[in-house]
Amino acid sequence: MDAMVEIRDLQVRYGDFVAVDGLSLSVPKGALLGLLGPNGAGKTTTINAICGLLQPTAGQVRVDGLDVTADARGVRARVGLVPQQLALYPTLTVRQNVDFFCGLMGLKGQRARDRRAWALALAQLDAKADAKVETLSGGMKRRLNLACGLLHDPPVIICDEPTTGVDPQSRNHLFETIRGLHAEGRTVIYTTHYMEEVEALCDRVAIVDRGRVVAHDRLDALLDGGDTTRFHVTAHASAAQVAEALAAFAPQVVQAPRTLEQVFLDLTGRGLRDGEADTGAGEGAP
Amino acid sequence: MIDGLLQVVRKELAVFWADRQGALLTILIPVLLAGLVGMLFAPKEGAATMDLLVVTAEDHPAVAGLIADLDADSMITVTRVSEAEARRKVAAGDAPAALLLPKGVGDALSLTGLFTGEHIQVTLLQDPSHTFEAGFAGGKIQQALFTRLGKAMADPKQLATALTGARLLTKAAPSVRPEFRAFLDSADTLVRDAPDLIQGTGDGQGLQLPLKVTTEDVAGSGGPSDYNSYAHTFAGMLCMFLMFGSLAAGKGLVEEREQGSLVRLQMAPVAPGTLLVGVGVGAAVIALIISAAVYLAGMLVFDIQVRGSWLGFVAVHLGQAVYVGGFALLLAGVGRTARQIDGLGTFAVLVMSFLGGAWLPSFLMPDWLDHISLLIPTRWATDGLAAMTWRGLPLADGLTAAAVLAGFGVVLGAIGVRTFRWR
Repeated sequence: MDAMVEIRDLQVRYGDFVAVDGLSLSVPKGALLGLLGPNGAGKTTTINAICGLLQPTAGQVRVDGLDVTADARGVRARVGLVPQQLALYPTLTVRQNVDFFCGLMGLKGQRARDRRAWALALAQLDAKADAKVETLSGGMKRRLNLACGLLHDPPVIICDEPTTGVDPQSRNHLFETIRGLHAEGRTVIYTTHYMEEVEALCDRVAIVDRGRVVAHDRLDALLDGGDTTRFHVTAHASAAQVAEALAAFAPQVVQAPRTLEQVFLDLTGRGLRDGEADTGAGEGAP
Repeated sequence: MIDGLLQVVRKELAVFWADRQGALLTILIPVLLAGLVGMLFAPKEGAATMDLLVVTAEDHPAVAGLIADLDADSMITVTRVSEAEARRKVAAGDAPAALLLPKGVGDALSLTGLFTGEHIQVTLLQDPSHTFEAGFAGGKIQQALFTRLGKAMADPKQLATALTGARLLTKAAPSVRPEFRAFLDSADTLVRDAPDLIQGTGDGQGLQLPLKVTTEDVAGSGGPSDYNSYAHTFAGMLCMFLMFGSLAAGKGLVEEREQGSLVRLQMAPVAPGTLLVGVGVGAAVIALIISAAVYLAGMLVFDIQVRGSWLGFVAVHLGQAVYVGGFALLLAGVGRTARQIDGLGTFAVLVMSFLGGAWLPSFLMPDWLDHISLLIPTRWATDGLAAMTWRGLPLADGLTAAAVLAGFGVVLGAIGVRTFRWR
């Protein structure tokens, strides 16, 4: 399968601090990849490198065949970044925000009008087009944040924790939107701390830790991997009785299926990462 | 590139206008403050007088005449008090100066002691914190004394009395040369035989002070100047508030960085420098809009007039706008956080406003500060606007100020773009 995003031996250093340490990752065209990692693992730095927002110390990043270092502008035209923070102007109206970002992306005339209509429909904010962003709910702002990142109709979408602080309905709407965009053939890279979001949304998962990819595979393959063996037991007894009998036989036997969170913790450890932060720019670096 | 820059400028204007009340306040506050401060400096009738306490030790017509002369001066208000009260009031700061006229002043002003060689000591008490006013009073007193002496000299009766006294003195002094005695005799004869020549009966006749000082207000345009204190305060307050606007623009950029929203701008196919310059140009355009509104109010309400060149007036505003945009970028470049910009920017704006003559006219500054302030853009803005308004100076003065201001703006802006951190 053709790779839409190809990262080879990416290294990003800020002085003595190594944010990304020889990271390699290949994201197939049309994939919906969940990019996971603890705080400070190098996710945001990797995203910034894909978007051409920073200069790698070493390694190569290609998007749709374009080298990010050589043609950052070309790469940015192919990537739609939906940042974790609300990159909107709260005192301007929804329409003014969309128009500004349309203009900034070089969209003009009928094309700009079409994309504005598309964005308002995508965010379901037609009725709120003339409302100031500061008056919108958290979910509405998140939807608008997503739409504004996709105005230039990019084939690659990177969502950096897009569901932070939204209610379940808005989260569901964002999932539907992302599924719809993926169904149109776009490649999506989705970072989050919520494992259930990746399980619900993504077909592939990459887990990053300490600046390296520690696991990358299809979601079902990851869940099936590891030292855990699944047994299907048919018994004329309750689940608790079965579990008790199995536990007497082998203490390692657990009743629950393997979850992505389990995989994640197995790979990245259970220690806290409070002191580490990946800002994508080396801030907080020693 | 231009498209991207224009998009950012348009957005900056939209953000400015989105908060209409805030936008209105950025115009109203400088107008109100400039009007208030201008009122304090306005040269109104009777408003610029100083109090002078006078202590007299004798009731002499010449002394009364001297006091009347001083009181007649429109810039001095005389109050007669006792010496103890004069000393107490000056010491307490209730009066800037007091004139002590001892016994004998009356005779001296009547020419009685003209040739005696005796001096009467007149003392001026001054408050050390008001030496400028005391010096001013001293000048006015000297002027009144000479006027009074001139009048005595032009009075044949008083002059004759003085000459008689002088002749009596010289008779008793054998060392006096005979030529001087002869001069006194002939002068005495002249005074007694032809008093009209001394007193005079018309223009060009009589004994008069040969010099007379008059004052004339001039403007660069050659016509009479009509100093308008508001013209100064509007220039100063506008400059200060425009710099506060710069602070807000620079802070806004850093807040966007702190919130992480700059990343979307970076994703646009526009050079990062162009995006920053767009913010600077936006700040400059907003500065121009505020300047136009503030001066419109100044012209309509406070009668500020462009007595110099209109082209120069517009040029100074354009130069100032470029400076404001550059200053915004500089603040964004050097400030790591919004709070840093708040502290650093407020300090810089206040110091530059003070040193640049935005609060007090530069002519009130000490010489050394006056020279140093030429390195401050604010000085060029206030001087440039003063030159084109009440001073009525030619276009070249306006263009010079505009060029210096624009130069400051470009240099500061370049430093800001160079040092700005996107993350």
